Amino acid sequence: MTAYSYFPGCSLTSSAAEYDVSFRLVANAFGIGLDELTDWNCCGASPAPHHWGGELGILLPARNLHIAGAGHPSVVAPCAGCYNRLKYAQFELERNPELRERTGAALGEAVRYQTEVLNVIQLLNREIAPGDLSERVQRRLSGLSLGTYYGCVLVRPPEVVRYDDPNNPVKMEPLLNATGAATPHFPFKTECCGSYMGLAKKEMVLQASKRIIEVALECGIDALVTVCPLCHQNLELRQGQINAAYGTDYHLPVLYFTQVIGLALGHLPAELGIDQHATTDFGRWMLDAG
Amino acid sequence: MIGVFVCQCGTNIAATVSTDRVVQAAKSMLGVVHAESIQYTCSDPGQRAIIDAIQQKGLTRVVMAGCSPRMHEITFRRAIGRAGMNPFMLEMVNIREQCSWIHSGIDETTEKAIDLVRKGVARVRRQKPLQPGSSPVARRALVIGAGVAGIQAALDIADAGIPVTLVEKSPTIGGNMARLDKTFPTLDCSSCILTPRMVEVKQHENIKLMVNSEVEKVRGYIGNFEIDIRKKASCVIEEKCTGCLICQEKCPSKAPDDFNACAGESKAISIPFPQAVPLVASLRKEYCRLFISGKCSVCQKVCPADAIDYGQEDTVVTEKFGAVVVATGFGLYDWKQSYPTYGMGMYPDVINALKYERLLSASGPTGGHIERPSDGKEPRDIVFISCIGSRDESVGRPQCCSIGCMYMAKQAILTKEHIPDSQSYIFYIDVRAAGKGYDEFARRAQTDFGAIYIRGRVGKIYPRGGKLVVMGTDTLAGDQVEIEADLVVLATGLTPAEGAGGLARRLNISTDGQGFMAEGHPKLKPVETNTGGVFLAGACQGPKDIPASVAQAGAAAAKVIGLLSREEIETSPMVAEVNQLKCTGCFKCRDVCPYGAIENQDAMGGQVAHVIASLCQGCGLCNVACPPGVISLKGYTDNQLIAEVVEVLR
Repeated sequence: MTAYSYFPGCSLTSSAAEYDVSFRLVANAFGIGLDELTDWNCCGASPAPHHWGGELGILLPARNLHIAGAGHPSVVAPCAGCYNRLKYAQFELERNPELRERTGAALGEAVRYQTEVLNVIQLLNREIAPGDLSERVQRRLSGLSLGTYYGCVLVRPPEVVRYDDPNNPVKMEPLLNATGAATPHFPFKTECCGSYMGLAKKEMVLQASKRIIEVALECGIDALVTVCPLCHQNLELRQGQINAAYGTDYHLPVLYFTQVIGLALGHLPAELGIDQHATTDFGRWMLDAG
Repeated sequence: MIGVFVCQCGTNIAATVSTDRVVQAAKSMLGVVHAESIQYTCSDPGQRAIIDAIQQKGLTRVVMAGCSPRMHEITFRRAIGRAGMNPFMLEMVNIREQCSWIHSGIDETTEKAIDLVRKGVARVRRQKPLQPGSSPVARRALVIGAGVAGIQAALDIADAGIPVTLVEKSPTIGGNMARLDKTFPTLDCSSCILTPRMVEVKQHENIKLMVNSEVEKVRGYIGNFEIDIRKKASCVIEEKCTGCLICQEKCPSKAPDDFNACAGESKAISIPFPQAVPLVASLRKEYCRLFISGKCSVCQKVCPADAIDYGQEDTVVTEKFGAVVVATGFGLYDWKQSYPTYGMGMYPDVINALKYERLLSASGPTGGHIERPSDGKEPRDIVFISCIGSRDESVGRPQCCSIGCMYMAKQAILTKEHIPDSQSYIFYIDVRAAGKGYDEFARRAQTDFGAIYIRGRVGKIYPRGGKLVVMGTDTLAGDQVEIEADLVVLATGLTPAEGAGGLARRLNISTDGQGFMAEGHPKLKPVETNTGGVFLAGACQGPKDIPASVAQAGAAAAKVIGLLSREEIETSPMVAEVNQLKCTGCFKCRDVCPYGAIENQDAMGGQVAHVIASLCQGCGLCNVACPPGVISLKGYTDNQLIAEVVEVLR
């Protein structure tokens, strides 16, 4: 069994608890060990550190990276925001000796910053071959058209995260296709969902997320697949607000990458937390697909 | 009796090198009897000062410390020749490009200049007088590529009475210009001005035209190239074909229509367009039913001229040429992988400008009616996007395509003429319209033809209800823009033509970072290359428009005419020489020589190597390869090189 350090971050312990549950189920199914970091703290992606002079956005994840440094060779952060902050801290610590020194002083020992940071797509692609997944599929998702929605911070800025093509990421597709689902061309796969502007200027989020859903429907997509809890919140939870604001009638399911794989492995929607989603239309055809 | 002349080159050298100190140092070097610093050595008074010093002081060897030998070595050889010296008793020391221009501190730079001069003095002390040879000139020119540049060069050379072979790899001449509808800034009909020139090529008594042909192998040197040209089998006997087109009509195998930038469909056997020269069909085996499945011979059956020969094979012709003009033109940047947010070619209504040009052209697949590829409907809102694969660091292509701004303005004007109620939008970075009459023309696109110019880039294109939404920014208004378009036209950057890199290697000429052929000097040798006798014309050297291509072709032709009007040319005396007394006859030198300049000779009681001086280019490969070290290069002897190294390390 390969074991990884696991940084869940705040979302996976609260609003995106179903992401955590489905991730653990999939990991377990393929013999991937997950050891949650002890005493982890805020990843630094919340608006607060950004607004307080910037450096907290590096120092907070630097501490998490330091904790991870005492564990397994790699740490996985399923939330795209957490992943981005860890990568950012690593990027800055690598090139800035003075920052390393200051961080070390705050920690009381030399900062460990070289642990490999993985996102969930990267981890699953490494541990699961599409062919193996295909063989283990209990519920083939043939006939489903999934829109892969990567969002922005998973692949940007490219010089920091160095993951996939920033304009046309494609790393989710092989495993999704292995479940039998189709992944048609979706031009808005990295378009901004509005991010945390939901706090300051909700209309902006509604407008941005509405357009993503609109284009997804135009492309004949049955459900969006994401790895980012904030994107999920804006695209899924806010569909009611979008419908109220624009007079639309959207019921487009939005699933986590791990939930789709979990479904294909035969888990029930409730086991994967899909019943907790606001857009429950999904169940109707998803169960049929079994 | 060595004289050292240190050039100040105005302030080019004097600003960072103390030429006085160099002169002082030179005076104490072994063998130096005269040293002086001159403001501009290449000027008339500068050359006179050198000649005077030679004659008054009886100098026998000269060191010129100044610019690169590529700049002025010939100038100074001539000058000392006029003073009665052997012109090769000269050493150029580069204290400009490799010294004053690249360093800043005057003390260190002066020191380096002194080191370089000391090195030059040591070398010239061991120099021996050399006599140039001569070789006859083959009075025939090869022009490679028959677009407008190649056609112009071929006609100019042929009109001067010099025979020309014009080689074109596609089945017809005309190149990219033949595909254009109108030309900016006059809106001349492109084929109306080009077609007569194409016919002239065909009829010219001094031009031998070879289509479906490519240069395969190049041997020899300026004045004496020997070149293999492969004529690819087209399964059509050129002399018999009458161009009646019956084969094309009856052919059952569909094939892409390259000439129309794939805007239409063609057949496996076809004539690219009605004005093609020669008006002869060609068969593309990769699409032909006969060659794919073994069944079919419709074209052979219907051909009234009995011109089809399925068994035809490639032929290779070897000819001698005195000079070569490269005019291979340009290709278009393939945007699909680098701009994934534009749909990667998935939206049929996002097309490049050449394809749009074919849709505008009366001789195009739609007869000049603008029909968009997806559903054949006439578009109303058309978005043009400039600088795709040019001026874009993010895809590694920083250079300007130099014609996009103009052809977009032209296409917007033509669009309005074709569809009066249409609306064109042009996303641009800057409108670059520097040619004669260009800016006026580009402005008319806005003022008289209503094109809306939006300064900014396009981030994304996506489909919505049968239209394409173009999302971009307007950087002047500081706002986001969304336009629902029926058709999107991309002004893609220019690349070297396919295969240009291989041709450059065969001709032994250099290419620049983007793969375009490199000129000899950006200012003073714009049509020459670093290989004597090979000249450049048109967009193979870099993106350019029709007037610039034609002008460069004329200049290249003038160079060729000048070269080939001579009976023989002087050859460099700096060639290899074998000390046959010590040669062991291993012939490693012969194996490495790229010019076939080393032969076996019966001498010294056996077989030894001998250098054919007229073929040797002085590259020095044999020098290095010779195990006993008995080949030396005149003017670059081991003695001289070792002396230089010793002085630098001193």
